[in-house]
Amino acid sequence: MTAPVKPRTRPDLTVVEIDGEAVVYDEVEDRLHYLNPTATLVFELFDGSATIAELSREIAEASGLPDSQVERDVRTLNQRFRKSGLLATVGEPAHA
Amino acid sequence: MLDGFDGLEFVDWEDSESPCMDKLNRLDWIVHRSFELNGETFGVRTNSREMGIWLDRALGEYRTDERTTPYYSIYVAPQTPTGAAGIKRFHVMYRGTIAAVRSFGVDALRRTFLDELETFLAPTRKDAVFLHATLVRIEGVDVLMSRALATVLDDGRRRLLSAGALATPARWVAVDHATAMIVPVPRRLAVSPEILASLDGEADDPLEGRLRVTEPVQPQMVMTFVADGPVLTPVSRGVALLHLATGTINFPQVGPESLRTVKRLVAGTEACSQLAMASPAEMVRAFRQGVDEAFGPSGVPAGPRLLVSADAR
Repeated sequence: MTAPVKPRTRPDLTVVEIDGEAVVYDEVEDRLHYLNPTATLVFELFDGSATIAELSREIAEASGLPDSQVERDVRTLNQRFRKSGLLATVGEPAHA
Repeated sequence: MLDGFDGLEFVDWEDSESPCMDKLNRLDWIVHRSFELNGETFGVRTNSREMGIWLDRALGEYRTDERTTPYYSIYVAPQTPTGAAGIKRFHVMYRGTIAAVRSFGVDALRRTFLDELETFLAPTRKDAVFLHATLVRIEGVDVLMSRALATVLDDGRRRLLSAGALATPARWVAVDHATAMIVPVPRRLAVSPEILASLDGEADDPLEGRLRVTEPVQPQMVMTFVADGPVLTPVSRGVALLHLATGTINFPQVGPESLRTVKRLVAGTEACSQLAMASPAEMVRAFRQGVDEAFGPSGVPAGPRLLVSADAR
């Protein structure tokens, strides 16, 4: 049985925040990504220290939103980040 | 044909139903030159022998014998008035088939042509962040407009001018690293100081719709373009930053630092909007509406900054 994944964003990305939103530059792919405030918050929390379930509970407590709704949204964002290549692969060192 | 100004004749082949380039090609071009700048070769043609001589003097260092298709066409209107007394004709610089600059002054045309050519050097420069954008001034509000929007909105047909706006003729701006403000583009073309000095001294000319950046400018608004959706949509500064940053000409040279510079530029704005494709008249109306909603008809800020969230992509 594998341990739950603790998502972590790639350390080589350039993240520029403005008004709670972020524009992320991926130098490898030479692409820019826009993150809305929710995505930006989750992106910041993806530091490899907690599982999605743990992060979701944290956000739910802070926001007062239902756990299940928050976890669903965080999982969706996790998939989007991964699909966009913004997350480090498992086993990759935290700092390049 | 007349374009709403008494006594002024506008030479506007683009309003014809014939293909634009065919119209242009039928003009009496007597000088053809090819130049190479930063590895790019392009052709210039003009109907004026004097303009041809000036091109050779100003840009001799870049001249090449390679045969090229004209990209720039510089039309110098006859000096002798024709038709009704008092009629004055514009000189025109065409970028492709678009009348990029119209001016009663040949020197103004020359200067903006040199400004235009600086674009060729921008991709390899590091002294500023260069964005594909145009600065537009309307009712005292400075709007930084993405190149795509400026091209769609204006495309040489004076639509912005008819809406009461002045615009920089070039489709790019320089953003200073230190201040993150729009600054005059520092010249890098190897043109003699005497030639440059002879072209200085003209201020903005509302009649011709030209705006010159002569000092640092912090735009109050950003307007960008999207292919579809509502004609006018207020957007967040994050979305505006994304749109502007994708038009960074020298991103490979400056790297991610350019993103931070553009962020500081956008952070200094008070409102951001995007316009979607519609008829030219609708888009011009939406442009005015966007400025009016954010700043009021007199350019005074009208309430809190407009923000809207958007999905992560």
